[in-house]
Amino acid sequence: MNDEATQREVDERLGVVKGLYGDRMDDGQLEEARKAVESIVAASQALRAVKLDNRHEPFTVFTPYREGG
Amino acid sequence: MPDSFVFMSIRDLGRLVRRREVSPVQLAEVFLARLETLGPDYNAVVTVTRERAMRQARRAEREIASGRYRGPLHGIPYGVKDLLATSDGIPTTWGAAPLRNQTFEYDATVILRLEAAGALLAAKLAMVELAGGGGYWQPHASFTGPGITPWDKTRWSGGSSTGSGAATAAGLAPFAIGSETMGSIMSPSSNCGVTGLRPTYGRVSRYGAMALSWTMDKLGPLCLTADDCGLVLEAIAGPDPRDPTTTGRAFSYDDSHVGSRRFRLGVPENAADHADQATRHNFDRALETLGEVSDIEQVRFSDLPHEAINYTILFAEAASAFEEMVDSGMLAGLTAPEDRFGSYPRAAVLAKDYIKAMRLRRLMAEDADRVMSRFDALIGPSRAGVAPPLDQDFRRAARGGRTDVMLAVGNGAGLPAISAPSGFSPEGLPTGIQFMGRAYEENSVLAVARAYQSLTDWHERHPPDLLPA
Repeated sequence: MNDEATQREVDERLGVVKGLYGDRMDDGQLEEARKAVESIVAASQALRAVKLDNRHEPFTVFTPYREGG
Repeated sequence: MPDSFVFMSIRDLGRLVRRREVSPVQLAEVFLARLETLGPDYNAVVTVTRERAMRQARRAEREIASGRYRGPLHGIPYGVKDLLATSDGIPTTWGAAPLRNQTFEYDATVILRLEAAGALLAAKLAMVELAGGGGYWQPHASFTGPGITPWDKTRWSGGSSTGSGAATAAGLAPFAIGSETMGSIMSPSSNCGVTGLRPTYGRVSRYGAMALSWTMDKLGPLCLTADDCGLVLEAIAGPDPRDPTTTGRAFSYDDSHVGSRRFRLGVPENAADHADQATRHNFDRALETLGEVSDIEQVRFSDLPHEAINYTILFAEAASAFEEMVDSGMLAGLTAPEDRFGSYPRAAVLAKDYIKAMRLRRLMAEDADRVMSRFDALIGPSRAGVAPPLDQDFRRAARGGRTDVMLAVGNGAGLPAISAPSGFSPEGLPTGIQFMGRAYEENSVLAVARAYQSLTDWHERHPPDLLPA
């Protein structure tokens, strides 16, 4: 992903954070939140860089519930 | 005379209790007094549970006198990280000022199991607020003050099990229970010069423990020796219907003498590259020592984004675990300024990234198991450096952004590891070495750690000003 696309993604995700909590943060905190979102987007990119097949399931197993087992 | 019990192993104390050479009430009085008088020096204690400890001690004394000896923990005092629920009106604060009066009407499973083993709950121990769930970046992140290592009052003990490490190292309790999501048993064990065991995920019930990350949280003991860690693990391990993630695999501590057994050890490529000079030096020396009883070779994990996997899972789960607290504005009352807003950006983690991380987690776990299948344990420094100064900003101290692969793989794949003291820096601060095993192979890592401790005496060193007169 090029820098422009990355920056756009950071801005869009930061927009979600601002929408939820922006009124609780001052400018300094917003700047720190931006850095945190940049790290989260970097992690996203690292995850996306690994290609998986449709058969690769998440490492969690859903078990239907029934009282008493 | 009473202080001579301080810094004795559980194994030795238990022997004295069984022979009735010391009584549980005597032990409770010794350690309660130390918790009350010395605990504040290290910001190690939230609540001394004197009444409960003495009640349990008197009961233990009656039982032992009548020939009903329960085992090596019977009559032994201990402390727990203050994220385990306790009844009797004892506060459970999670290290957070807004929760300083929080109480529960039940005991965590770990506490019930230790009670069944006859141990004496003597203290709720300090911790980083919300076990670091706010994203703290400096030691002043607890309403009880920064955790202080007993080796140097200007240095940090944590985290996030700050009190568990400091209390064990200062001889305030013979053992403590801590928790680890990403390093919170390994780090205080290393910073405080004690031996800490992170069990396999699911080995120990999390029922009654604060959740930071449901799929990554583990509870384990911090002790003076690896042998003691095995004794405590046997008492707290096992399936629990109230925690469906607990494994049905039984754990029985194999304490048989390692004797002339030769181990197979692996060292992950670049395992010590991120460490400071003292830590690297002591790790190299530990390799030489371990070479006497082991065949050691280098290993390599697959090239996966280990840290991205872990932090995506951790952030997504923590965002949900603390959602009500975040939305209520309660976090504004936390101690560290960064913790008051550090949870907000986690709303930016995408659901599909969390799922992708959970898919990659399986590959990471399969790769780790493949790599480790030929070894009794993998070894590396427990953490990259000695205990940092109390005024350190962790962001500036990051060493080149290198991945700590054992930390990431071990926690992401839920693998057991033990941290043991490996020596000291020139300024007298302890360093640690970790032994990490395949899932459910706690007995293997305990055996290697016991062998290492039979060849060294680092675990027998204690802060000089805290030694009994």
